[in-house]
This record gives sequence, structure tokens and C-alpha cells, in this order.
Amino acid sequence: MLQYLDQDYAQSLESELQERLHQRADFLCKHVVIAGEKFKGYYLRTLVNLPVTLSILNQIVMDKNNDLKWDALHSMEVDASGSLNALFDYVLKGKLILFGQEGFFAIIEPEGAELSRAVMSPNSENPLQSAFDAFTEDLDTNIGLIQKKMISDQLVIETRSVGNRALKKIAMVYLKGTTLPEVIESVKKKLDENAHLELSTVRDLTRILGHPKLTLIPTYISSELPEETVQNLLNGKVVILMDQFSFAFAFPAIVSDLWSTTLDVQYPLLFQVFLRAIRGASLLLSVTLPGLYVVLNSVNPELLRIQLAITVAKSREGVPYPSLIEALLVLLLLEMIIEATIRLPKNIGPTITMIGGILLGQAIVQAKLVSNLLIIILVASAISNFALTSYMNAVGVRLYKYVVLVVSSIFGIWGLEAALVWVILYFASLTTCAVPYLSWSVKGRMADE
Amino acid sequence: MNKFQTIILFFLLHLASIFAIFPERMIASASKGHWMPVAIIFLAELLVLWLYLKAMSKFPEKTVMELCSDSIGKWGAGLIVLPLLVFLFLEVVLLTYYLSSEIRTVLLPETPAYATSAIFVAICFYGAWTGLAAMIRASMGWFILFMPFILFSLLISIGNFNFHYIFPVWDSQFSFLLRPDFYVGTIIFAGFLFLGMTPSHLRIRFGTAAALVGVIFLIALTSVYVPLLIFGQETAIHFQYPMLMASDTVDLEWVVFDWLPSFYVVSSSGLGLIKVAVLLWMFTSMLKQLYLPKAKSRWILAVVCLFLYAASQWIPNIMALDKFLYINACLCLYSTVGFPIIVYLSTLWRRKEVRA
Repeated sequence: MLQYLDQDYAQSLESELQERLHQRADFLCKHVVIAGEKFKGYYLRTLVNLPVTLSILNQIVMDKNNDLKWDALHSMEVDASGSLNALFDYVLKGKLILFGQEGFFAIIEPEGAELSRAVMSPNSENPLQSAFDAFTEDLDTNIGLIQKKMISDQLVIETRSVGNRALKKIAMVYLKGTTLPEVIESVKKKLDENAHLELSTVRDLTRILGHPKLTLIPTYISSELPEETVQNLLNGKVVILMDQFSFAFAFPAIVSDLWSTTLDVQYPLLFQVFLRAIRGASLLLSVTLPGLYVVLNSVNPELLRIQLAITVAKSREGVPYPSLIEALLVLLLLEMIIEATIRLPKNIGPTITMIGGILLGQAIVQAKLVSNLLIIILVASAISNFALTSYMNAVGVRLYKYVVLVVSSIFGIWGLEAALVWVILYFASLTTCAVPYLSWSVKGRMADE
Repeated sequence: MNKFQTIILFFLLHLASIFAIFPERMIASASKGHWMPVAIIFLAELLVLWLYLKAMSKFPEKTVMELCSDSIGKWGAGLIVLPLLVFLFLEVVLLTYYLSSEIRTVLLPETPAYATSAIFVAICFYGAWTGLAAMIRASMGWFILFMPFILFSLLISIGNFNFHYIFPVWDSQFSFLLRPDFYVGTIIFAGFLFLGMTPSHLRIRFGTAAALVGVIFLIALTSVYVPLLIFGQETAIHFQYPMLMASDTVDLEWVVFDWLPSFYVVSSSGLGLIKVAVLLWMFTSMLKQLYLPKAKSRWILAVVCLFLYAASQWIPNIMALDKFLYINACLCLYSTVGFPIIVYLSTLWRRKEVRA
């Protein structure tokens, strides 16, 4: 706001500002000259590109005549009050504050320093037939990406700041008329209620939205692709973007997100149905296979045809411990291999795969420590686990596998069944953002409830 | 879509009885023309269901409990519902015992009874804890999970049929009406009582329900006739689990599994879980509404489950189960036939009162 303050007040503001920010090494106070007048500029050196800003300011002011030249500055100004706290915030947000003679004072939106990377192709997702640009860390860029992909007057974008100690900007995006009003209301209400909570991680975000702490499946779908996010919006989800986070979070997740990605719609319908059926089958397999192995091996071997039962028993010949321990040991090893390959540099990853998969797998069977059938079963279960749509979903399924394993080692096929009945009940009891987890879709008239 | 799931739950609850208790009782109740008792039971169900849904549709915003206590007062409703509560509890206990002994006999001969029924009761407890709405949602998942097993175990033994056992088809004396086993078969009705306690937007219309009863009738007929056509009446009557024995007569080359009755037990126990969970929920919510309005429903549920577990351990053997089933038949008749009629009459009476 271009304004004149009381001179004494302006001076006290300046000194207090300097005092509060003297611990910041990059906080500077410089004398600058704009259109022949002297100013004192306060700013953070790491966030403001001062030379460029000054030349732009001079350019704007230069060709105006004397009366209008300060009005011309309006185009670069920020609306603000002259209180100390507000000024302090503006400096931290990377604005330039100018104090002139006679209490003249302005807050300028400067040319920022180059801190964001450009829009690039995604790092953690591999779309096949889709747009390849991915979100970056900058919130405005991300919103821009969505808007570019979706030109619609129904698109609503609300930004707000969350947090107490450190402010975090988030944007809530949804399609009016497509997203259910109940969902929008519930998200908004939680964001208003919990605006004081700190937000720095994704878990903080789910806490702010009031989702349960312990869930087997994530309550959101994260995506790096604007294309996927647009599809999520069209499916009636509310998307939340966090500043300095290159993922968009679509709320709420429903059960079909376990086996369908929004990019499936890019394929012919028959292919889509086929792919989803495969993923559904792999969901079932990855949960039940290890449990089924233990059941057929040690609790209910009479279920199998006698020839097959003998083959199964033969493959375990000489293995010194019960099949539950055997399965748990190899599962642990498998989990460690998966965990180890995730964060390793790309040029070491294959080595681990080779050592773990080929050498160890072969050796452990030859040493008669585990049966080779178990290796087949576990690898099948691991592969089917990664056929699920996102890594987050896969982790929940991976965890539940152990519950199934333990219960079915005690109660056999009945335990396996009970574990499946329980997990369906658990899914049915989940409700996030006013949408039950077991719904057909989030869009339009609600699938159930 | 939402009503569709209610329909599924309705269907599954009936299937639960078809896969436990119902077929052997029907076989025992008649010596010829077994389709007649089955048909009569289902015609009776249609009639009662019509009255029940008619009564409910007049006051779409209310559950059956509120209807009763509005028209005949809290004490009257308490009296009317009391036998129903006893029926529900007995039914839940008997079903738990029946199924856990079935699991023990067929699948887990070495696991102690207390462990098998403990996990059974625990899952039913969790189901009732999540509430009816959640169970209605879950019914779709259960349907997908169990339907292959159900159809498989119903139909695998078709190859062994001996169609001569179908005769004679007509029993002119209606002798089954005099046998208690026929009335035990009415527990299949318990599957529709939950319709009176669903939230109003999940209610189904009579037309849909009637069509569904038709489908269930066909499946019930199959379940009665499969053992009959394989073993004949004289043999089948001696089996404790006739359907199970029927699927044991089959040897399918292309299935990797040898012990096919386990499919039957898997589907039967899964369906039983659902039925017990739903009935438990009904029991606790009725108890809370009419007798213990101040208690927390989850505590009531926990206590009820403890009793259920203790009671199912206390039943000494399958003979005692039979005795209890006969006792329960009277209560069952009251709660599945008498109670809907009372509800219907009370709504009629209330309408007159409102008009006057």
C-alpha cells in the first residue's frame, strides 16, 4: 500500500524490523534510488532479485510524468497494513519493503530469486499414454498446471495458510457440481477447525483433516501427474496441494482405488476392464497366498489332492522348522530386499536384486533351509503385491498379509476365511470425508449411505 | 445402488439358513413331496414380509422399535419385543454352536472348541460393533467373496443325481404340518427382520423383496433336493449335515482340491458369521432402545458377546442343540410371524388414532 506514515512511527517500524531480523544472515537493508528519489529497501537477499526488481521499477516510473509516477507503482504493490507483524511476515514471504523520506512507505512484489525447478517429467510414476508433465514444488505452478489442463468455470481453487510456528500455504481444488457438497463441507470444516496445527508432512495433512491415525490403507491418493489429478477432480474428489510438495492429494480414497488408476481411462474399454481385473485378482492373491501355503502345508493338507499333497510335502523334506516360521523368515528377507532397493542409487539396485534374488534364493533352497515351493509362493505374492496401483496401497496389503498368515496358521482355512471377512468389515466401517470407503464412486449421488 | 446392497444382505441372510439347519429339517419334516413344506414356508414368508414392509412403509422415518413404542407405549413394546429378544439370543447361540461344531468336525478336528468359537464370536462382535449400515455395505464384498463357493458347493454333485428319488411328489395328508422339524425350518424367516431397522433410505420395496424370495426359494429347493436325489429320503434323514455329505460323494478330476466338503463349510460358516453379526446387532440395539436407554451400546454388545461365548461353550452336544432348536421354534414362530402381524396391526390402529 502506497502510504505516508507518521515519520516517527515509520522510524520505529524500521528499527524494530531490523532488530527482529538481525539473526537472519540474508536480511539486508540497502539504499536504493528509484526515479531520482532515495529509499531504504528491506528484504531477504536469498528470496529477492534486487537489481532486476529495481530496473523494472525504474522502467515503470520513468516514462510517467511527475504526478503520476508513484501511482504507476501500484501495479507492483501488495495490499497490506502497516503493522509490524504484517511487515515481518511480508519480509519472510520474500517481499521488498521500501521506506522513503517523509514517512513514505510501500511493499513491493519483487522479482523473485530463481529457486524453483522447471516443470519436468515425473520421477516416481511411469505413465504410458498420457501427458508427461509433473508437478513441481511451487504451489502456483502446480495450480497453473491444473488450470491449463482443465479449462472450466466450475473449477474452484481456494488457498489458505495453515500452521502456527511455520506457515504453510495449501490450495484446495474441486469441481463445483461434480464433487458432493458433503465432501467439500467436511474438508473445509476440518481445515478451518485445525488451521492452527503445524503442517509439514503428509501425515500432518491427514491429521488436520481428522482422519484416523491407524489405518490399513491410505485415506488419500497421491499423484505427481496433473493429468491424473484432473481425472481425480472429474471423479468428484477434492484435491489438496501443499506448497513445496510436488504431489497432489486427492481425498477421499475409496475401495476401487486399490485396483484402478485414473490413467486407465486412456486405454480402450476392454483393455481397461482386463487390467483392472488383473489388479483385483492380484489383490486377492497377495493377501491370501502366504496364508494358503501354510494352511495347505501344515493345518489342512487333506484339502489337496493326494498327488499334490505329496509333492508339497516332498518339497519341504528336510526343512527343520514349521512352515509358519519358514514363511516368516523368507518374508522378512523379501521385505528387506524390497526396502533396500527403494532408496539405493540406480546403479546399485540391480546388484542387490541379483544377490538377493538369484544367489540367495538358489542357495537357501539348496541348503534345505526353506522349500522351493515357498519361494515360488512368496515371489508370486510379492509380484502381485506390486501390481496394485500405488505403492501406498501396496504397503497396507503387505502388512495385512501377515495377519492372514498368522491367523491361518492357527485356524487353517477357517482362519483364512475369518481374516478375509474381517478385512471386508473393516473396510466397510471406514468413512473418510463423509464418504464410506466401500462406495462405487465419489461422484454425484452417493453410491451408498 | 444403495438399496442394492440391502437386497444383497437380505439374500445372504437367507442363504445362511439354507446352508445351516434348514435343509436337514425339511428333509426330516416330510417323507414325500418335500417341495410342499418348502413352498408353504416361503408362501408364509411372502405374506409376513408383505405385512411387515407395508407397516414400515407407512412410517418411513421410523424403525420398527419406534413404531411399537409409539403406538402401544414403552411398556407394551417391551412386552411384545421380549420374546423376540429371547428368540434372537437363542438363535445366535445355537447358530454359533452349530457352525463352530461344524468347522471343528470338518476342518479343524484337533483345535479345541473354545478357540474356534472364540474367533467366531470375536468377528461377530466386530461386525455388530461397526453397525448395520457398515454391514450392509460389507455385504457386497462378502457376496463377491462367497458366491463362487456357494454356487460351487451347491452344484458340484449334480452328476450323482438319481431322479427317481423325486417321487412321490404329492403328500395329500400334509403330514409335515404335524412335525416339529417343519417349524424349526421357520428360522429362515429371521433374515427379513433387519429390514425394519434399516435407515429409511436403505429400505427395499415389497416387489423387489418378493422377487428375491422367489430366487431364494429356488436355492432352498436345490439345497433340500440335492441330498435327497443323491441318497434318497431314508438315508438322508440320518445325516447331520446332508449337504456336506452330498458334496463328499463327488470326485472332480480338474479341481486341485480333494476334500470338496470344505467348500461347503467355508461358505456355510462365512454366511453364518454374517447372520450372527446382524442378529447380534439387532439384539443389542433393541435391548438398548427398549430396556437400557442409558447404557452405552458398545458395552451392552460386549456383555452380550461374553454371554454368547459362554452359552455356546455350555451346550454339551448336538443332541442338546436339537432340544433347544425345538424350544426356539415356538419363539421363532412368534417373532417372525406374530411380531410382524402385531406391528402391522399397531400401525393400523395408530393411523386410526391419528385420524380421529
